[in-house]
Parts: sequence; structure tokens; C-alpha cells
Amino acid sequence: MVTVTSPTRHRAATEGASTPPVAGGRRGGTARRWWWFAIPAVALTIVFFALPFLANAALSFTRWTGFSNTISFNGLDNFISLFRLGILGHATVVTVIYAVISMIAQNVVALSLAKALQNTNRINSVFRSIYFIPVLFSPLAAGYIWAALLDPAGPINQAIGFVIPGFDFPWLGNEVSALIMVGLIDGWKMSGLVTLVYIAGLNSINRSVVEASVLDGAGGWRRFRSIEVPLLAPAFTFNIVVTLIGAFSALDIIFATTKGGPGDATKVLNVAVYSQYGQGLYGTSSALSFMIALLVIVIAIPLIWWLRRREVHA
Amino acid sequence: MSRHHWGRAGVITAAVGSLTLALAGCSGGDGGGGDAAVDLSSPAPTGVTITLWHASNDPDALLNLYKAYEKESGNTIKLVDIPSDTAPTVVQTKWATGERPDLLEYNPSPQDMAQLNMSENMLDLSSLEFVGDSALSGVAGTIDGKTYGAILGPVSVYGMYYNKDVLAKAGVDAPTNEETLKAACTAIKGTGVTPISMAGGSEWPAMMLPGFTYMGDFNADNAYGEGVASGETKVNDASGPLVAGLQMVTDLKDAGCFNKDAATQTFEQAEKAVSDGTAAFTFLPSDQIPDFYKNGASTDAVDASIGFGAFSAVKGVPSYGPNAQGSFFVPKTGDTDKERVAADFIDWATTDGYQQFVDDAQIVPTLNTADASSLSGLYADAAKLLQSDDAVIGFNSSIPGFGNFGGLAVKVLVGQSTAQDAADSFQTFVDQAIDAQKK
Repeated sequence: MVTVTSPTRHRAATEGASTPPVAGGRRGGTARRWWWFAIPAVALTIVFFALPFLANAALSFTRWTGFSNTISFNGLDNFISLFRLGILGHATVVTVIYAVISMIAQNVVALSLAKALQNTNRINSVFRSIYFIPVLFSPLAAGYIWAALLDPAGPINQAIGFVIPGFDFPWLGNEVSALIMVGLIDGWKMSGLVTLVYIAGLNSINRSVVEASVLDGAGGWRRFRSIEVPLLAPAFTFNIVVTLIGAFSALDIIFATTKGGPGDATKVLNVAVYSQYGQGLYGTSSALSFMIALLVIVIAIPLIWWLRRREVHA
Repeated sequence: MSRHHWGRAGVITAAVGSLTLALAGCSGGDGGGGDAAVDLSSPAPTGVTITLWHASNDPDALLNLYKAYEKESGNTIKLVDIPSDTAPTVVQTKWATGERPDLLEYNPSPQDMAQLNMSENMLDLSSLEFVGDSALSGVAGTIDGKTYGAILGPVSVYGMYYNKDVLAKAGVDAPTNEETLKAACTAIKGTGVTPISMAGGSEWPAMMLPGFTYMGDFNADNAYGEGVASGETKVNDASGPLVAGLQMVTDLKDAGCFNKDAATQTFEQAEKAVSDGTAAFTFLPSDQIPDFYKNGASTDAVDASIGFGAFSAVKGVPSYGPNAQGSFFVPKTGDTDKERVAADFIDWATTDGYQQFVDDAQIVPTLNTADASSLSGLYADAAKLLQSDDAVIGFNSSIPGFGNFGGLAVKVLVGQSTAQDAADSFQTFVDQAIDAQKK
């Protein structure tokens, strides 16, 4: 006897076999139940990010000073004033240079350390911990330590003095070297953290790919350039974005070393914000803060987009 | 453009709620203060606790004064430490959020007072007894003839510390003006000692030479400062004194009169250089006198080797300025009992408690009801300058936007900027601040 099965019934039976026997309503209920766990994260984001950002954005367009008890809308006056004073352009340029120096320093140092400390063994674990210690320092403490080390009469110049007698270069007193130095100090402080990310990235690369390249005769440099660097793309994305964007919020290290000087050579946006705020000019200070947020958005979004594309290609 | 005005708390709250619509019609209070009148002639209540925002480095003399008042009045003063090195910004931050103490220790210069809008936010103390006795009446602690602040002292005298032994070896007297300073620099350089120890690393000391001291000649009756505040005088006038003062710094730098590390040296290091005799001069206020005594082997040794003198462009006119330390204000909080007690503290501290404070603090009194204590050494040098007939209030006290001058003075010191360019930038900041102060 031949049993004829309708195509419809057959499809339903097949789907039934591959789909968990969960009623549609019950599945939706399960999904909704998980939403409660998102509430803390959403609430924190709203309270500590969205609301301050919106408040800052609104206050950027107000005449808000310590000289008056009233606040009034003043359009773009704060931004025009900051531009006229030369603060906006100068502080933005200094901030970008500082961020780039810091980002390059962190990633170059961290990638080198990651390669050196890639294998997990007792000695490498000790060194990983040692290199991570600066991350735990207070940025102010780190700044004060480096200010003492870089003093013209400090230990670094004294060490150089063994080779070049009388060497007393003011590392933090020269406008070019000061900016480089504060960027490098930030890089030094945070590179331990970035190193761990690169180590994790290196260790997640499939060993068989590396071994195959060895069998094909690839040397160490070729393996690094052609296999590890492309496959580290997600780590590069994370580290480059985090280090670059993190440097835009620089303040404490600069305060502890140069206070924005000499002159205004290291006056990054946050130092300018502090300076305006200290004079009772809260509206212009808010406008500068808003500029930092915009700067981060303008740089971060294309950068992440580009780096993510690299990941896809890799 | 029509402009809408609201209270601070209202607008900040509204800003959180929405970006632009909130700016269109909210109204609020008066910034956290209260307008309830407090009768300063009525007896002060007892058993009340008031908060005092005070500098964390208040000297023992002031701390003793607070305790003495508590004992005398039966009231309690709860001290809230404000870090002394960032005090103005910390106070402004708390103030901007609507927080208020019952009693505030703060800088009484007209510009600093304006930054907290004191004419609206502070209690008018004009009816208190001390007002007629203050040597600083009219130049500090007051706005439009009304007294809001009580200045107990100490008052800073801006001058030049010098090493007597270094000067003797170079065969020069302590310079009092630009001409004699340049001559002294040449003579001292010949001895291998750094003539002038500058502390650009601390920023504020860089203002002393071209600003606080040099400008003394031009600020009799606060004429220069008030001229700048009114817009009649421009700080960037090419033939004006401020450009000349900054140009003097450039000249001295070019002549090799400064220490090599002028850009990074701190004021503590500058003090030590003069104490040690590795530098001849440094320009700092009299507040630093205790540091020189700490650096020396003994009081007598310091008195024998270190001097403190006046310096200005031509005439050697001393300048002075009131200090945040020992200057008190009563914010309007709306709590009349606490306002009355805070005013009572000021009344007591400026009358019955004042002589003891002056004796403890070893200062020249700012109120003529107290006798000057027997001062010696550097303290006597500073007192002599302060009490001289030609002493003038610091040129900065009325200049809007003065907070930017330090960084600009450092730019000139390290050669990043010419005197004229720095003055031009400063004028832009002054204009910004003048505009911000328009009601």
C-alpha cells in the first residue's frame, strides 16, 4: 500500500523535526524575561553618559558664568569666542598630537612586549605583572614621578651626563619635547594593559596556520608580517581605538608634569576646559567639553569603521 | 536675539531634560541663596553649627581663632577642607552646583568676588564694626561701596628676595627698578652665580616680575586695574607698561640673567637657589617667607643672608594684595540663624578676637584696632613695605580675565611669544571676561 503524503504535511514534519518544540508565545516570554538583566547597564548608560552628554550639549549654547545668577541661551557665541581666543584650534591640535603620540607609543611598546611575553610560563607571567604595574598607578603619581625623573637635574639627565658631560636638557621645558614626553608618559602608563590584549590576540591564532607557514619555510619576520599581524586585526581595532580615544581625555598626567606648559605647549582640550572653568566661564567651558565629545565621535566612528573593514579583509 | 533668563538650578535641570526647549521658559530661584533678611544687630543665637569652607593649609593662628570663637560663643564651626592649591576652582565647582557653606574663606579681590557674583550672593556686612577700621576698605572685600568680606590678614606683599652675600660679592645693592636690575644682572653674572631664579614650572611666579612688582608704578589708587576693567586702558597698548614689563623679561632672558631651567623650575627650587646662594634674586610674594626660614640653618642665619625688598619699573613702589587665607564672607543660604552666627563669627574675629589672632599669626594687622606685633627679619622687611605710604594694591585685583596672565608670562619667559603677542592675547582674554561680566 502506497501512502501518499502531501507536500505541505511533509514540510511541516521536517520543520517540526529541526525546530525546538517551543510554542511561539512561550519563546517570546523567555526573551522578554532576559531584558530585565539589561536594565542596570541601560540605567548606568543613561545616568552617567547620556544625561551628562545632553546637559553638556545644552549648556554649550548658554551664557553661563559665575558672574551672574542667570543662564541665558547665546547660540554659538561660546564657540565663536573660543575660536577667536585661539583656544579651540590650538588645544585641538595639541590634543590630537598628544593622542597620536600616546597611541603609537602604547601600541608599538605593547606589541613588542606581547611578542616577547607571548608564551605563558612562570618567567613571562612575572614580567607581564611587572609591566602591568604602571596601569595601576594613579596618573597623578605617575606624572609626578616622571616630572622628577625628567627634571634638568634629575636622574635621566644625570645618566646621560655620563656619556655627554654637563647634559641638562629641560625635557618638560622645551615646547616640542614636552609634548612628546607627556604623550610617552601616557603611553608608558597604559601599555601594560594593551600588552595583555595583544597577548590574548596572539594566543588565539590557530597554531596550525603558524606551523604550516613554518613548514613552508616562512621566517619569523615573515610569519609576523603575513600571518600574525593580519590575524591580530580585532586586537588592533580594540587597542588603537581605546588608546587614541582614551588620550583625548588626558588631564591628570599633564597637570602633574607641565600644567599645560611651557606656555601652552601641552595645553590639551581638558586643560583648556579647566582653565576656562576656573575663571567662572562655565558656558565656554561646557562648549569646549562638547567639542571633545564631537572630536571623539568624528575620529572614532570612521576609525572603527575602517579598522573593522580591515578585520573583514584579514 | 531675544534672551531668556532662568535660575541656575532650573536651567541645569532643564538641560538634563531636554536640549533646547528647556531653555524657553523655566524660572527658578536665585542660585541657591536666600533673600530672607537677617538682622545683624540682633543677638546671635547659640548652639548653632555652621560650615566653613576653608583652605586646607590654614595656619594654626586661624585654626586657633575658629576654636576660640566656638568657646566664646557656644556655636560650632564645622570645617570643610578646600585644597589650597586649587581652592578657587574647587569652590567654583561646588558653588556652580548650588552648594553653599555658611561661612566662606575666599580671595577678596574685586575680580575674585565677581566670579561668585558676591553682590547678590553674599550678606552685606557694611553695618559691622570692623568696616570703618579696615586699611583695605575700598580696595578689597567691597563692591560698589558695600562690604561683603572681612580681611583679617595676612596681606601678601609682592617683592624680591635676595641673597645679601651674593650681592656683596658682586658689589651691588639690591635693585629696585628695571635699570638697576639689569645692571646688577651684569655684575652678578661675572661672579658665576645665576642672577635671577625664575620658577616657570609653577607658572604663577612668572607673573611676579613683569606684573605684580613691575606694575606698581602705574597702579596708584588702582588706576591701571580699574582702567582695564572699564575698557579705557588696554593691556596690549604697545607703549603701555604691561608690554614694557614683558619686554623686560625678554631682555633679561636674552642677556642670560635667568636660570637655565626657568621653564621647569618650581618656586620651592627658586627659593632654595636664593637660600643656597646659587642665585641672587627671585621674585615671589611675602607668603613665602616661612619657606626661607625652613631652608636656613637658623633664624639668625636667614636674617643675616636673605633680604626682601620692593621692585617696580622705575620708583621701587611696593605692591600688595589680600589673601584668600584669613578673608571671610557670609553666603546667603536662607537660614537666618546660620547667617547670623556666621556674621557673628566675623564680628567677633574682627573685634574681641583680633588682637590674639594678630599676635599668633605674626602679621601686620589689616584693622587699625590691633597693635602690630614685634616683627623681625624678613617679616619686618615685608611689613615695612606694606606700611609705606606709596604701597599700592596689586595691578591684578580688578583686571577681568587675569587668570590667563600666568601662562602668557611663561610663554614670554621661555621665548614662545614676544611681549606684544602675549599682551595681545591677554587683551583678548580680558575682553572675553569683560563681556562675560555684562549683566
